[in-house]
Amino acid sequence: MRCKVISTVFNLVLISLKKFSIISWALLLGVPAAYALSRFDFKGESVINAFFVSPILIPGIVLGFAFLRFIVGTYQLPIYAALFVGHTVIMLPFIIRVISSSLSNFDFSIEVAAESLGASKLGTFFTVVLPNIRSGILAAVMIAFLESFNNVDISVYMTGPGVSTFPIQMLTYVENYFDPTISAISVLLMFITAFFMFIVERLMGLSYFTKR
Amino acid sequence: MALFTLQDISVAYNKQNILKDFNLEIEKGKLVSLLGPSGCGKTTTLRLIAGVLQANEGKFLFKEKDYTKVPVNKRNFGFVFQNYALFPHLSIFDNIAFGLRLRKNAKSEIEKKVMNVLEIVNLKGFEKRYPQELSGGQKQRVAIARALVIEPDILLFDEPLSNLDANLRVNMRVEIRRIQQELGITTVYVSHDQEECFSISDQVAIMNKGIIEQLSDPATIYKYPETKFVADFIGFKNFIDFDKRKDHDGKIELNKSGYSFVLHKDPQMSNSTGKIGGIRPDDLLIREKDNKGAVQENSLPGRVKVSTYLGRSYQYVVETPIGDFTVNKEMAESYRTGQEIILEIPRNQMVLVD
Ligand SMILES: Nc1ncnc2c1ncn2[C@@H]1O[C@H](COP(=O)(O)OP(=O)(O)O)[C@@H](O)[C@H]1O
Ligand SMILES: [Mg+2]
Repeated sequence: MRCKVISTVFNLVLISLKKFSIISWALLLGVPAAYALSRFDFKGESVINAFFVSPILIPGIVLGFAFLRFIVGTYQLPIYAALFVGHTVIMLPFIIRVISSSLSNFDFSIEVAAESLGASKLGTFFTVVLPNIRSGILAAVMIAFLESFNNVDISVYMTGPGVSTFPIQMLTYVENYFDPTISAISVLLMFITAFFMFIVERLMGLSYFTKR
Repeated sequence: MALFTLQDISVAYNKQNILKDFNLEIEKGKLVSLLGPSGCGKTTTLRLIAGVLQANEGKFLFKEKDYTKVPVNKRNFGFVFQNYALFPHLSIFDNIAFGLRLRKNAKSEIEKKVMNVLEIVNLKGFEKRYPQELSGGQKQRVAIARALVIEPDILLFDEPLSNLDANLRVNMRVEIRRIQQELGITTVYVSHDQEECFSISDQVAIMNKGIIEQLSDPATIYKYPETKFVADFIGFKNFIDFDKRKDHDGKIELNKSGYSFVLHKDPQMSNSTGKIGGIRPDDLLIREKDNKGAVQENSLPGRVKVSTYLGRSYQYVVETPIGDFTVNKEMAESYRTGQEIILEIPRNQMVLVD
């Protein structure tokens, strides 16, 4: 029993680590995208915006199947790649939206101030923009984590031998056994989610997710 | 010799010209204001000088070198914004030290310079605070200190006092002028407040729709506006479009719908041959109608249409055969709405513009 608890905890940590590596990658895409969308006015801005948000609008079951079809089917990539890409795509809209709202409070004349004092464009981004949206980034990381952690509809396609996600394992478990383990885990998950949402609320206020 | 020159500059947004064939020359050590209504292109001009904005055409010369393509961060010009634009995540010390650190100054050097500039802007003891903990006036001092500390070649102000309340505005503008003169720093100052510009500038450029209508010292502009726009902007609220103008030695004869007027010819008055006369509400004379019958020189019969209480004086809108006039008159005598009166234009109070 004790051994089982330890391995579960170990598994959770492992999952988290994998998650955060995907999140880092999604941030690398999402932060510059959010920045560009907030900072510049350009042709087709609304189209690009819609494109980034579209994964929320398309049913996950459809999206997941498309990934499976192309990544594993057409391109013959391992199932891990599908999981990786799939989860990046789920996270991106949330990351972009949260960071965009954080940037909407950012006064871009501060950038000009930094540049007039001698900072380069890139230097300005790192020394002035990033430090001022760090709470937004942290909130984005948590939301992305939760979104990806709790996702079933896309993940359900991306499991194979030895490759699975936590909620999918839970689903399989319920199909095969009927004992209180799942109830216990569910309560645990609810606490984790509540805890994350609490931190996000502290950081930015939940109103950030109701406005665009 | 000019420190910097804007030469035939054109700027367009979405194919719409904001500045067109714009020329401006500024001498070292001078404070020059750009004054004009909102949307006339003042900020655009400033952003162009700063290098934030690239002109579609024209050149920017600095110390006779072509600076047109030099980016903002290589220009060493200080910029002070209306909304302060302090770095919220940095302390006052770090805000001011920002430019010095980029210039790889030694730590002791930075400390010395920051403390020195804090003294200049009267903010000693504030270095550990954060921008959110300061009042508007203090924030603007920090912004000025931050721009000053890099010893900029030009200091640019974009409506720096617009967000402050009236009393503070007066104090701060005196402060800005003091610092500017003490350090002898060439400054371009943008505002839409006439009094602010006139009180601190060596020269004022009055802008309208992307062009400079007049560039001169404040006293000259105040007394001798050259265009109708400038006259209107600085308070000549009454205009008469004369039918005839005849110049003599020492005087000018004007005529409008049979009413004739005579002006002194002021040698400093512009050589324009304009036929539009402008006069300030304060300079018009108003008196009760007398029954002498004959119309006297430079006078018009009229009727009070609207009377407004201004506190120190009354303001009347007077209807006359050649249009409505606005007149200010002290409290002592007042006139009823509808009363018949006489308006007089003093010989030396009217300007003629195109
Ligand atoms: N980024 C922009 N895109 C399009 N038009 C702009 C932009 N910035 C300014 N303008 C236009 O240029 C004109 C001049 O603006 P600005 O220089 O800011 O005026 P001012 O500072 O004198 O109020 C205005 O009509 C404004 O609408
Ligand atoms: Mg402006």
